[in-house]
Amino acid sequence: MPLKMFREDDQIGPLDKVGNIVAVAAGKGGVGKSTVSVNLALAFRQMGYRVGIFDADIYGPSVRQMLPEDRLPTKKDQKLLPAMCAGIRVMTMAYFRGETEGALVRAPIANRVISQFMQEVDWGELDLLFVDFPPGTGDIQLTLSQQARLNAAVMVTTPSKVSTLDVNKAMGLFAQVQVPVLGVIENMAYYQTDSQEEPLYPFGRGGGEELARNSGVPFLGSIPIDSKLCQCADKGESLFLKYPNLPVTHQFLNLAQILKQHLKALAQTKGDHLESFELIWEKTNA
Amino acid sequence: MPKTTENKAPIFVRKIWQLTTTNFAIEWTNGVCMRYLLGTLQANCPCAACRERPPEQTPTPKADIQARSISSVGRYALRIDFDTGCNHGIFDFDYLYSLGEKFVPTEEPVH
Repeated sequence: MPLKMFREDDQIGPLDKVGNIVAVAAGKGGVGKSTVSVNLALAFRQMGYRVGIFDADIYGPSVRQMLPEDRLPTKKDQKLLPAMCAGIRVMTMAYFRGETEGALVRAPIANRVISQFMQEVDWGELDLLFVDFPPGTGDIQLTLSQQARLNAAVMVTTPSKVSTLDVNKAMGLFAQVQVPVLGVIENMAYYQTDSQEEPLYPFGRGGGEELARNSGVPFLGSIPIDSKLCQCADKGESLFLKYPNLPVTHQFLNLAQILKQHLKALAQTKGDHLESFELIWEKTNA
Repeated sequence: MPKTTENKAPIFVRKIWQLTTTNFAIEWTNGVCMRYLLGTLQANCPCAACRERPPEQTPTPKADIQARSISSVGRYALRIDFDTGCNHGIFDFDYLYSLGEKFVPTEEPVH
């Protein structure tokens, strides 16, 4: 049965002034969705864009740790204004719960919380809002896909087979709700030190590229394993300010440029190209 | 070294139409029209089995290969159901673009 699709004219609300809403998803936990979301947001911010992050992981929000707030969310005229963190507008469940307090809620409540965030957070004018998806392909992911006016999704995987299997399922969800997947980012792709000539591939090699090839979406690029990336996330520091010249920092900027091109092409070619087609061959001369 | 993706705007299919029993054409979103011979595409099949074949076993393109259908795969590629030989290749648009022969269509496509 076809799922309910979100239509642009359904949306009269706080997401209206957001240019692009991009899901960062995996289907699997622990592949680095939040790390990728935060660092892509920082990269876009560095490039001069107005960026936001909606951490949609009700049960295990981690964006606040990686991107501590300069200003907490506030309430204005029945709307919530997002927190401000290093110039990025952020909303996460972490602002409403204690640091060590788990969200012990059933799915319908979690769903309602997500819907509430959708309807009541006034993001203001943004060029780009990243929605950091929770792991899995369940109720919350479906709610987000249907309500968040997603323009596109970016899939994050590690090279391992276990990871790509789950990511493939999440791509199926986006296909069903007709959210175009811009491509696959392979996180924790390789490890290289200055003394090594050849990189090491602790989680296997080429899994992200293979997933992209088999799914018919572009492979956007690889992010190496780097302890500095982990340190920055744990301490809530910006990789771009602290280590502007690391390969991993350049790779995030490179990925942001690639995403920018894809989003631009998506906007420009909407209606200008065939989305899905089949040409049935005529055996006689055409 | 791990692959670094080239930073360029993606291209998409604006129109696709059959020219003869062995040829079809694509108008890309950058305005370029390309002609494709099915036999050439099959000889350049990007599937794992064909790519790993030793060069001496690479078949010469057959001029008379036809198709049953050509369909889109995601937003990114084409799959061609050839009437004989390997059918597994997914031709991503960048690769397909590189295999085409530029031409100026003499008449408007039907599709």
